[in-house]
Amino acid sequence: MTKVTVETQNLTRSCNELLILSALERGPKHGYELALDIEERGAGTFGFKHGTLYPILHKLEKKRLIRGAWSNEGPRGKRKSYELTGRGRKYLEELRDSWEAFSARLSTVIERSHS
Amino acid sequence: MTRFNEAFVELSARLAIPQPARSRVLLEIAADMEDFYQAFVAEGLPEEEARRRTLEQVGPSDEALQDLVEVHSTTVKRALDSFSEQARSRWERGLLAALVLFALVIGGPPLIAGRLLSGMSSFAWPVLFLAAVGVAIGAARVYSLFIKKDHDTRRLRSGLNLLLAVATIELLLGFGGAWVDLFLTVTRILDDIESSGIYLFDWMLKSSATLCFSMIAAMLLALTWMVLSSRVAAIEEAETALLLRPRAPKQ
Repeated sequence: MTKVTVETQNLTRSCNELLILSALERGPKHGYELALDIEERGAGTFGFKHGTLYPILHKLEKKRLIRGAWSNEGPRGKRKSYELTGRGRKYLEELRDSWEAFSARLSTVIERSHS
Repeated sequence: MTRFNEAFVELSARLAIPQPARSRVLLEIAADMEDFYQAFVAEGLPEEEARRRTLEQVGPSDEALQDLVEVHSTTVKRALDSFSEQARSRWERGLLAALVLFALVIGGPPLIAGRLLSGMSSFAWPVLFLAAVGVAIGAARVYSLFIKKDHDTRRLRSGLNLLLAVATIELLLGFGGAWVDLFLTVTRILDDIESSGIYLFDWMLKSSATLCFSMIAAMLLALTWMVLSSRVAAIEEAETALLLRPRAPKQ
């Protein structure tokens, strides 16, 4: 796997990946639970539309960072839930480090001048 | 699930992904929409407002749909999906069945008489082993689909692609083995040119036996794959059709 970096050109995509993977680190979730988890923990800050998550979820699944599974559990019939894979866990750690480094550099750049 | 039918018909038309991936995406979105809708209703929103909010929240934008198309359009996937389309046409299955029947009629009697087994080269053993693996996979899928009635299409499809891979390897092994045997025969002829006729006939006997095994096995596995793929595709289409069925008028 190549080194994970956060670039200004792909901030939104990278941020969404980080949010999804972090939510799945807390346990397997289907679409609605995923949206609810991010909404609640982010106190509404990340108010993206759920429809934008599908391509990201499918891309992460294709890269085998997450695993999707269909189940017939519950009264509402067939639904797909996702869980983090071992590879995804490793990728999440790298992504977290990159975001922390990015955040630190951003803080330095936007620091208030005291003069 | 009927309250989002109009939206799904429109979404299905905008989603330029080949089957069966399209059915899976639509089913996933349908399940999420139902969850969001129920949550909005539980919050106290009127049904029509809950429906509108759900579509706004969960319905993918044009950009998201384009991204989905890119994710699901790899070369390998396109090739596999086009095979799935072929699998649905009856005449192709009929043609393959006729080919298998022909191969069995021609290769069957010497196989039963044991002449093929006694004359085969060492490459025929991995061919036979792989054929046994393929038969086991096929039998497991037939059991899941027709006896156990397991309709988890995703799980079924993963096994079917493996079946196709085994059939391809069978062919490669058969033809590759025949060429390697030919190379070995030529090196023996160079050492003993006087017996070249015997060596050549020996190669022809061994290679034809190996090729006979590999081609019959590959065709049988391909036929099994086609029949099972067709059945799985029919299940997926039925699920999507249920999703896109016109909404029943309220009593």
